[in-house]
Amino acid sequence: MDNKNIIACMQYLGTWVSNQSFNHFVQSRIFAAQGFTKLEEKYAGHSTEELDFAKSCFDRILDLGGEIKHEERPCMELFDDIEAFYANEIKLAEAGLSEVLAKMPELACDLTTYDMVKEWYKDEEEDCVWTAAQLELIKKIGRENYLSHQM
Amino acid sequence: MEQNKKLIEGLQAIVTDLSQQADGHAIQSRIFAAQGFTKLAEKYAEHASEERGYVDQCIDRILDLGGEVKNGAKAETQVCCNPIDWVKCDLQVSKDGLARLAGIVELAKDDLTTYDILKDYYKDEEEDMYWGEQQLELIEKIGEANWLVSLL
Repeated sequence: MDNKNIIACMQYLGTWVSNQSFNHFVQSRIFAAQGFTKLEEKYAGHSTEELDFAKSCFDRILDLGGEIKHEERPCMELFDDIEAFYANEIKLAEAGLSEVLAKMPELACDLTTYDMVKEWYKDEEEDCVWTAAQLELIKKIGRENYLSHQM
Repeated sequence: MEQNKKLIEGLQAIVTDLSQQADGHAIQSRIFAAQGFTKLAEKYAEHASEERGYVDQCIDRILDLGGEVKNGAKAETQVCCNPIDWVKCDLQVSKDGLARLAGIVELAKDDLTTYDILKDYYKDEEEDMYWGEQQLELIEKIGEANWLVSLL
């Protein structure tokens, strides 16, 4: 089993997901300040789940005898507008999912890691579908009606 | 107001730096957990959680003051596998951080709410710095092996 590639994948995911987690955490505060309590709670919860997954990635690196790096993180965009936020979420999720899918064959020899990443992938895909559904809903019922349901 | 703008910039600097620091402490906690140093793992997990709490408060304060919060770029930080090296490294980070924080607290002197948030964070960070110094003195007194055993 080539642990080096698996460790590299775990490091990539650990860094990426912890950066996403913080971004969702900050975005949740913006929604809170705007009065959209349901959005605040959704993204605070999402941030916590992502942090837990990042923790699993780092634990897996250590289990595999690797060294964790605390890597640099790029700045990420934050949004005041819900539709722009959702569109960006889908864009980021699609890019991330495609990157992870490409790495899955390398993980196939390590059942524990493969299972962990597969579960995350399924969750992330579901979130992407949910976000797309929200954009459809906004088109059907209008922004104001949608936002008033997020209070 | 110019003073408000500088204060918001100061709060943003805390949001960016402290969130990276919190993640660094969380990573360090996992390393110590894997090594069997349970007490150290718990300490740094809790520390990461407290730091995230302060980040939360600073974000909210920026928004209250009418500012825009950013998720800024963060530099890579050191990770230590040796607990003693880590305590030394974290102590220096605390000292450097407190010096910067003192400047931001000064900016908040006319904003009592922000001042209170920053003062509480400063006091916590100062306490952590003293803990770090105490641990290094303890290591000199009882030896490295005994100190490490106390962290199991």
